[in-house]
This record gives sequence, structure tokens and C-alpha cells, in this order.
Amino acid sequence: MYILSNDLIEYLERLTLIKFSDDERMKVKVEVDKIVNLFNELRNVEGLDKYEPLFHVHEVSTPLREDEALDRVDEEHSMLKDNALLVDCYVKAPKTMVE
Amino acid sequence: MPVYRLIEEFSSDAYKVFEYVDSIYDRIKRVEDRVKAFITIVPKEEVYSYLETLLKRGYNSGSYPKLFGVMIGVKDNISTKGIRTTCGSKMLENYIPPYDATVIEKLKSVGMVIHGKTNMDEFAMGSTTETSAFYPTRNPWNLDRVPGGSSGGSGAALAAGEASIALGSDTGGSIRNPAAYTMVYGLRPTYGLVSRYGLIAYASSMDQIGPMARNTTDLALLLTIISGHDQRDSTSLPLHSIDYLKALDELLYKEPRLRIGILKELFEGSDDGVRKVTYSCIDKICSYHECIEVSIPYTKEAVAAYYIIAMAEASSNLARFDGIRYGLKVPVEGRNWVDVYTEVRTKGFGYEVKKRIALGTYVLSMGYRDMYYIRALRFRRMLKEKLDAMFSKVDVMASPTMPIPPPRLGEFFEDPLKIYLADVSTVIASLTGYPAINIPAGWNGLPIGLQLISRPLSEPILLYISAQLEERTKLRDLIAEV
Amino acid sequence: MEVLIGLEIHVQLTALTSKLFCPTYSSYRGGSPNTYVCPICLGLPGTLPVVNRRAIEYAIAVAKALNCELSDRIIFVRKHYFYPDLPKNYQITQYDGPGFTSIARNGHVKILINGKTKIVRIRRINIEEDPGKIHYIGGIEEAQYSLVDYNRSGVPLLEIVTEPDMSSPKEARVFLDKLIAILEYLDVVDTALEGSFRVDANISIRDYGRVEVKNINSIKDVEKALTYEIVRQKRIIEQGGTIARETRHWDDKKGITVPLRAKEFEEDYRYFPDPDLPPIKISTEMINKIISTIPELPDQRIERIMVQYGLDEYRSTVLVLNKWLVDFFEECAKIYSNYKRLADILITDFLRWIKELSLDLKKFSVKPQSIVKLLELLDKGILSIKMVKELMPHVIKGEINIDEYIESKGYIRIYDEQHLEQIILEAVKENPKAVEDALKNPKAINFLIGEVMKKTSGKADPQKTRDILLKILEKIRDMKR
Repeated sequence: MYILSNDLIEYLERLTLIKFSDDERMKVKVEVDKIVNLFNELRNVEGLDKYEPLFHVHEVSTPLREDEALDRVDEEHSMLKDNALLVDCYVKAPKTMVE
Repeated sequence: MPVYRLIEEFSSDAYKVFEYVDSIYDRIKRVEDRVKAFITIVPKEEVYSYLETLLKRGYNSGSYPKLFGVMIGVKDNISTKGIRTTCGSKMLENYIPPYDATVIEKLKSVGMVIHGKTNMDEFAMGSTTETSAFYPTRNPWNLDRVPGGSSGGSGAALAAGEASIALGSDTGGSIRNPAAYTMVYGLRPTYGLVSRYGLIAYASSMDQIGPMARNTTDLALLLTIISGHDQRDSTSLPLHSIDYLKALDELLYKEPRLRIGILKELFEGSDDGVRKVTYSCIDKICSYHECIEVSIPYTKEAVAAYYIIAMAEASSNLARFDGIRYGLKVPVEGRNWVDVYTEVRTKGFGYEVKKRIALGTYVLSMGYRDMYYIRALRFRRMLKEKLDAMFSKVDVMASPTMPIPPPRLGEFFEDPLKIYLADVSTVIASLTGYPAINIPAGWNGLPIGLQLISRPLSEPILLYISAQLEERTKLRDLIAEV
Repeated sequence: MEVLIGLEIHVQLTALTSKLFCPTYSSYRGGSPNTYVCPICLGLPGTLPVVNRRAIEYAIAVAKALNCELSDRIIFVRKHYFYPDLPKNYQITQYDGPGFTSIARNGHVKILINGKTKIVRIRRINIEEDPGKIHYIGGIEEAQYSLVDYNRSGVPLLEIVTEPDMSSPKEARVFLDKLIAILEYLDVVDTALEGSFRVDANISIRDYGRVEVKNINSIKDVEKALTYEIVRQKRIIEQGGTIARETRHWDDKKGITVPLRAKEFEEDYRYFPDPDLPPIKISTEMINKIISTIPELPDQRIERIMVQYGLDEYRSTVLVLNKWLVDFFEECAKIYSNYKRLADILITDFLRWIKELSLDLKKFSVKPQSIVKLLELLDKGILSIKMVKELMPHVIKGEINIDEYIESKGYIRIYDEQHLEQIILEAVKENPKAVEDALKNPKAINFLIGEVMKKTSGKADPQKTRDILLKILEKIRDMKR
């Protein structure tokens, strides 16, 4: 039994919108077992619950930005034109209806 | 020629820059086919015309920018306006950023020339540069070996003489590891010292851009240029800029005696060859400074915590790659977003990236989050507190940068765990945000590096010891034959 | 069957200059698509968010005005889901749960329902970024692809969530009116702007499943959508059915709610603190400074209006909930002291005409003097209430100068009491028969009033005419004795 069951792979595929090919599935199951075993090393660390999770290494307050706009309206679509498909200035994207 | 020499040379005769540019491009022509350090090389003509503009501007204003003409290799996960930035991925094979990263603006403002974007593990996920979607980079010192990673292209470009200096990025060791394997100096700055704005994120709470160079002086020089507060990065530390060259000079003048902690477990856990070389390297200064053995009981656990946090953040950071605003395109007409995104992401990401996104999603998802993600973050705080306690006794901590010499290409393909565990020394600084440096330590047939970690914002100390060691090892300005 | 309604309101902070996390203009309306964008709000690789200070200040002011408890720090989290309008495929928002916190919690708003005060509790307030906007060629069903405009992406939003404390669509509307008034007093949003105020509703019959209705984009539709949904649910229950817990979509064209396609699996948004945004500490100084800028709010003002002008709670509330109107009332009240009459004319005729003429209160400038003048002329009997009502739209539109108008129509002579008396005397002389009748039967006086009206083309004040006529008849009666 692998930790990464077929159900779990499919669940993760749905959440990430990434599919693993059959070959990749075989490989990833074996590897994930090893990796999760490594992760489980943390279970053996005693007294861990005493420590609050450390999300940010420097616990300083985020600086705030004044509410000012740079005088910049991108009429030429320079932010998108090299990399996106534009249709009438809109970015072309897939449908949002699911049949 | 070291960068600090180039500066002197060009300041006496700016036009010498073209000879220099030619020599670099000649070198690239000769070795790049075998090394593959770059993903994108800027055409020489463009570099020429850029330099001519700078020369004209300099002539008119009577002065040239400080690092005029110095050719720098930039890791391909740092956004360069108008220059393709791929992150080593098919996903971004044709992505042209419309903006410059803060560090790139800084390089340009001192007249540096970005002549190429260096190869890397895809989205910086790897430590051999083998997960690059394009091709692996080879170690210039031994073409059968990997140059380390993920900034392997930057390290290789320096070792092969294809750039005078380079930028890398370090999340779990991605500067220090290739620096060790290519015999160059590489610094991971204190988290928040260098702006991340424009660095394509892997694990935001640990990513840092840092300098890579063939000597300590150049390293200090580049750090001076790229560091400093940036209002565009909320995690940037609000500090005044420091001239690290000056700080280094002052320390070299005063020559303070420091306490160096020898990280017992990390030396003991290394290959014999590595241990021998790194011990004898650190021994060169132990008569001057005081070296004491220190112990860090958690090593495997640190690797586990690092990978959990990195993968969790990566799964979020890489969600944006859907092929719509930028990146890999597939037909959208008549298809819904779930199908299109799935096709883009399945085609665009390589196996290692997919695996890490899936695992990162797993450790963040309901039911597993507390067991893995939150626990890793608790461990992170514990590690930081332990490290702080240790730093009340010592000024720096030394260890081998990598526990093994550079592996052969493909050597670790079948065992990802072994390669993850090789990050054991480097992840400590990554998890805590502390600065760390790789100093070329010596040879065991292959390059071996020594790592020093210090307290937050103690980069001058790291540079100081690096300079002292460099003076003793003479491992400086080395270029491989190839 | 007891109805429980809770609301989830998204309010754009339209008073801000720039977006929540980047220095790009946030007033995107009217801009051509994808021009109010920058690398940050497009989610380009390598970009980072930096928080807009004023957005935080506004959020704190709103939290205080809704009587909420404030957190001591602001934690932004990432909420993950894929959708074409979401550039990063995660939204930077807040989450109220273990380890995280919303900016504010546990507030309340007082509303007046049928003369009684009711409390609607506020569960929490989050600050977050708006996604972009999707357009379709043809309709959402027919379009072969969608078109995304990221101008709206990153516009600062407050998400205000109530407890299910409202028990009818009317209560929901009254609550929203009050909420809007509070927000407008704080001057953080212009709710007249399309899409600046969006409502989702949770509706349930006690002991039955809860239904979420999304996409109620106009305040007018809230009552309609809720009424429809309650009727639908009650009918199912009466027929012995059960209410499925589901999300429905308000179709404003058809006026019905329709089920959204059921999700295949439970969403897992994988919330975690945004590593790009360390928590923002909210200091007491910061809060105090913000509190000092909060103006008088509707509740305080209702109380003050009641005390200061002697109005009842209903009139005061109607006035106060329309900030422009109550400001205007107070301007008028400086130069006119029949406050009740003033309030009545403002909350009835004046407001009706404003609505009828679809005037934007913020843009037109009727002078308090004009309305006060009308009222004074009414008080003096120079104008009838009918005349006031007729003149109102012209005065509002600023088409007439009252003095000149009255002069030109000759009103001033007619309403001059002496002049009116002369006209009445003429009518008395011309209609001896009617005078006789009137002396016998008081109701017959109306004929004479009618005659006076004819002579004055209907411009005489009926009450004044009646008063004078009664006096004249009294004199005649005296003389006859």
C-alpha cells in the first residue's frame, strides 16, 4: 500500500490541475512514500507543540504603502501584449461553463 | 580578471570594455557547447550597442557608472525586462517579462551588462541543474559531474569563465550548493536583505537572491549593489544600505578574533573526503580564531521541515501558471478552464515540479495540515531558538556546504531522498533566515566547499572569514580548463 | 415557519486612489480593458504585494462604525482556487480560524423595524482583493471562450458577514439601507457605482437546510430575490419536501433563483498566511487616530436630530439614512424653524421629486434658501400646499427664481390679504343668492370659494379665502341683525 493511493493522487490532481502520466504515477508513489517517511521524522521531535508556528522569519510588521497611484495607465498593453492573446484589448481565456 | 580589477581598468580607459566583451564571448563560443551554463545568451551586438549608449552618456556627463561594462550572468528566475526569463521550465519557454526585478534595476544603474540568463533546475526545484526543462548544465571542473543547483548555471558560468560574476537565488541552498561544486564564492544573504521583487517565487519565506563570484572582494562588491531596502517587497528589511567592501576592509584591518562553532554532526555526517578537506580548511584559521565544537541535534528533521514548507509555499506560488496571461499556450476555444489549465500545467511542468506541487498541496490540505505543515513551522521556531542560543556562544558556525562531492549526472535520479538529504547543511540557514556563505575549501579530485552561517545581518563577518581563508587557500579567480 | 436570513456583503473601497496591493489606479470604471493594470495586479511571476495604508485605515473605521472588536494585527492569507478572473489563482484575503484572524469580529448594527429597534449582529469583516471581470461574446452559455479584463483585479474589498438575524426580506433591506448609510457617512464607498456593493444571502427556514443565493448585484433585487427564495422554500416544505443545502444563482432578468451546478467535491481552499505579507501590527495609536477621524455616524445623528429638532424617531431615521438629505435639512433648519414641516416636505415631496427626476444628489445644487422660501410662503398663506407641491420640481431643477416667478404670475397681489379681500368682496357682490345660501348653510360657502378661485385662475389659497370669506359673511350677518 502506497501512501499516495490512486484516490489521493486523483484528489491532488483535481486540486492542482496537474495530471501524472501512468509512468509518472508509478514513480511518484514510490518516491512519495520515502519523502513522507522523511516528513514523519518531525513526529519524533519532542515538545514541538510548545512552539508557535513560525511563518515569517523576521517577526516585524509589514510596512504600509501610502495610497498613491503611479501616473500610469497602460494604454499600449505593454504588460500583456508580449505574453497573452488579446482580443479587443481583453485577454482571451477558456470558457467558464462546465457542461 | 576579477571584477574589482576590471573596474580599475575601465575607469582608466572605458573603450577597453569592447576587448573584454569580445574575450567573454570568445570564451562562451569555445566552452558553452560543453558546459551549457546559459539558457539565453544576449547577442553580442546588443551588448555592444548597449555599451555604446552608456559610453555616449558617460562621455556627455563626464563620468561612467561604477561597474560599467562588467558582464554578469543572471539566474533565469530573475525577471529581466525584454529578456526571456524561463525559470528553466517549458511553462515559461517564451515568457518575456515586461518589467525588471529590483536587483536588475540596481545592476543596470551601476552600468553592469546582463549578457545571459543562466540555467537552473526547473523553478529552482533541484540541486543538480538536471531538472532544467532544456538541458542539464555540466560541471566545468569535470564534465561528467553536475555543477550543483539550482543556480548551477551561474556557478558553471563563473567556473568556465563565461561571466565575470553572477547572481543566483537560494531557497534551500541553491547558491551555496553550486558554489561549492564549482569552486566559487557564494553568499545567501540574511532573509530580507536583498529585494525579492522580480524573483520568480519558489518558497517565498526562504527565497533570497545572492551574489556568486570568484573571489571574496567581488562577492562583497556585488552584495553592496544588490542589497538594501525595497518598498516593493514587504519582507525587505528597513535598513540603510551598507558598503560591504568597506565593512570587509575594516574587519580585515582590525582582525578581530572570533569564535567559530564546528558543527559536529554535519562534519561527521559527510563523506570522508569532504570531511578531510573541510576540516583542514577551517583548521587554517583555528589557530587565530577560537574553534569550538557545537552540536545541532536535528539534521534529518531540518531537511523534513524545509521540504514541507518549501513544497507547501511552492504549491501556492506555482498556481498562477495557467497559460492565460503568460506562459505555455494551448487552444482555449470551446473548452472550459479546468480542461485548459490541466493541459497547460501537465505539459508545462516537469516531473519534479509536479511532484512538489502535489506534495505541497497534500501537506496543506485538510486533515494533513496540522500533521505536516504546522508541525514543520513549529520545528522552524524551535530550530531558530536553538540556533540563537548557540549564537550566544559562537560568532559563526562552520560545516561542509555539501556532505558529498558533486555527483555524476543522473546518479541520483532513482533516489530523490538521497539528494534531498544532501541539503542537510544548507537548509538550516534557509529555515531561519540567517546568512550563510560557501567558501572554496579545497580539492578531493573535485571541488569541495565550506559553509559558514552567522547571525542575521552579519554578512561582514562571513566575508571577513571568507577573505582570511581565501588568503590562506589561494583558491581565488579559478577558471576551469574545460 | 421562521425565516432566517444572513447576508454576506462585498463593498469596494471606491474612495481609495490605488489598488490594495499595488500603486495602480483603482477607479477603473470607464477605462478601456486591461489598461488599469501593472505586473502586480496581473500576478506576473516575481511580483509582490505591498499593502495600501489607507485601505487598512478604512477597514478599521468601518469595523469601529459597525461596533466590531478589532484584531491586534492584520493577517493576510491565500485562498486557493482556479478561475480565469483570478490572476494568481489564489486570492489574498483573510480567514477567521485557528491561527488566523479577520480584521474585525462580533459587531452589530441597529435597525428600526415597525417602530422597534432590532439588532443585526456582524460576524466578521475581512479585507481582500477583488478579482478581474469576465466578459462573454454572446452569452455565458454560447461563448466559445471568455474575455478577461483585469482592471478590477486588486481593487480593495471589504467582506462584511452578518449572523442570520434578519427574519424577512424587508428587514434585510432595512439593514442594507442602514449599512450603506454608515459606509457613506464614513465616505469609503460610493454605492451608486455599479458593482461597488454586492450581496450574497443565506436563507433558511428554521430546522431546514440553508441555501446560499449569489449574484444579487443590486440593492433593489435583494428584497425580490429573498422573497422568491422564501416562497420557494416554504412551498417545498408545505409539500412535505426537504431543502437541500445548496448554492443558487439569482437570475435578475427572469426574477428567479436557479441552482448552480453542484460541486463534485468539497472545496479545499488550503488557507495559509501569505509569506509575502508579514502580519501588520495595529497599534492603539493608529486606532485612536482613525477613531478621531470618524465623523458623526447615523445612530448618533438620529439621536441628535430627535433632540435638537424635536422630531420623532421615524422622521429622524428617514432623514439621517440619506446623508445628503439630512445635511440639507440641517442647512434649511438654520434659517427656518418649523422643523416638522421642513422634515415632512423633505422626506415626502422633495425626496419623491428627486427620485422622479432621477437626480444625483451629489451633483445638483438646490439652495436651502429656495426650499425655505417656499415653506415661508406656505406659512404666510401666500402659497397653497398644492402650489408648493407644483412648484417643487421647478425649484429643485433650479428652473425658477421663486420671487420672480410669483411676481410674474401676479401671485403676490392675489395673496396679498387686502387684495384677496377685494376679490372676495367682488364675488360676494356678484353672487347675492349664493351669499344668502351660505348664511343659512355653512357648506354652501364652497360655491363662493369656487367663484374666488375662478377669478384668480385657481391661484388663491383656499384656507385663506375661506377664512376671509367667513369674516365677511359674519359682518353681513351682523349688519342684517
